[in-house]
Amino acid sequence: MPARACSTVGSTGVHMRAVTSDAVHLNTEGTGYVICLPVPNLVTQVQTNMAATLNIDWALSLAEDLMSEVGKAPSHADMVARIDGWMARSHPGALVYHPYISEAGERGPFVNADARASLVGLNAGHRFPDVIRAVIEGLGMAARDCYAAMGDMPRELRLTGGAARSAALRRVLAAALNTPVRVSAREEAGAAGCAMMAAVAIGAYDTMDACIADWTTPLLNSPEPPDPDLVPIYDRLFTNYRHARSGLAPVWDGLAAARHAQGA
Amino acid sequence: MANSSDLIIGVDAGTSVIKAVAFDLAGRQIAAASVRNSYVMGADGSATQSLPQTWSDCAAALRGLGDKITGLARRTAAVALTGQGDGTWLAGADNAAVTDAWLWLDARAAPTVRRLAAGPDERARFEATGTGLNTCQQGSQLAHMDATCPEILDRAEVALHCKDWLFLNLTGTRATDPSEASFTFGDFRTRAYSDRVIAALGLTHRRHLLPDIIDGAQDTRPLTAAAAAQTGLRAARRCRLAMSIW
Repeated sequence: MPARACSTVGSTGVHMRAVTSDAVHLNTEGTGYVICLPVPNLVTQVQTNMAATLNIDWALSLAEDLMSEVGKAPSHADMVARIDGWMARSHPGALVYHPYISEAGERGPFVNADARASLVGLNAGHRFPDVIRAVIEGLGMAARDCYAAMGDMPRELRLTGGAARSAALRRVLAAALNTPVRVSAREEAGAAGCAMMAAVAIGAYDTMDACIADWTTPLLNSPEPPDPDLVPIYDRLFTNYRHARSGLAPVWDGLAAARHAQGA
Repeated sequence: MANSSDLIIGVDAGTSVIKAVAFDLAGRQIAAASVRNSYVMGADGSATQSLPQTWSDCAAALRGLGDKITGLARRTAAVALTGQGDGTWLAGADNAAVTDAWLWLDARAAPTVRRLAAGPDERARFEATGTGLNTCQQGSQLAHMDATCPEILDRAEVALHCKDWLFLNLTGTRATDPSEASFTFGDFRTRAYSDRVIAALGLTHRRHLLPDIIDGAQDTRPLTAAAAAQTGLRAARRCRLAMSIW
């Protein structure tokens, strides 16, 4: 059975990979969740990022704050609408960004309340579009980090949450995971999910698979395949992302100790 | 077909909003109603929510859905529940709240998580549940209450999750579902409680607080008359308990 995966990328990131219970990957760090699905012997592994699009909000707010000092700041929506243009004017895989912008640190695939965001590899030629691209690519790397803690990469990623509306982010995620991405048009996924259980329980469907064929499959958009030119670029970026996050752990400890010493 | 039971209501009780959504039996969304929910953050890291208010908000969302769909009570074949995951919702005598719920956002159990995570049984607990220990979880929170405010647990008769609390109010049944039961206190392979996991959390002497596990894809309970009156739905309708998502 191909590994079915779903990511909800909104303020936070939730990454889920459905497997039979004998195929669960128990990572050495002892992180994540395993949640039983309403199908016999099927479970989903879950890893979560503390902050996802909150990182984009942070980067945009840097520019918004500065612009408001010298004139009238654009609306957040105006800034978001520029992201695709900035992506077109910047180069993929040039910078490493760790999206640990939350003051609570990170919780997937590793748990460290002192982890913090970082931008590695800057030179004098980099401009705001390069930073925005790095942040968005950082979300792709964080998703890959989470899926890597749950076994093989999924063969198809279903994407929900606010970020699913961004063509740029879908493209980054597809290449970062080297998997096609499909967006679901289901608005109320939580309510629909439990209602599907009721539909099976009252006999409207004989099996959950039959229910899924009516309730879920027709609402999936067509798969958006990964860009083959981007895949090797993001393979290399991920190697550097992991090296940098291992190397930065003592720095996070040191910064936390410094905050503590300064009474913050 | 409008005079037969042709709708399923899904209730999604999130941390800050409770939604009631009606679907037809083929999965098309018909209408939705929502009520803002509120929680309180304390300087001690607490994040709490009122149990009776959450039930009242849930009932209001269902009544709100009834305002949007003519004949909703007659047309409803089932009600299904999901809600914010983790957290601790304690009920005592007569199914009354013991104290405000500790939400998944509550950080008070951090010292207990550190203690348990360093314990000799932690890896075995992880390999049974598949789930890393953290402050969000009911297991950590019950262990922390047991260490710091055991009188709360002494007054409790059952430890529920959010959706379980709503299920209790809708059906009068104290129960949880296989997903939260397994990742907190059990084994995802058997979908049952694990003595070893409960012992690793130091909660063997509190095991009586854990409710029966009901699989919402197979088992149903009828709505009570009191709940029917509060929600505007009809009694004896089947009410589903579903897995939780956060």
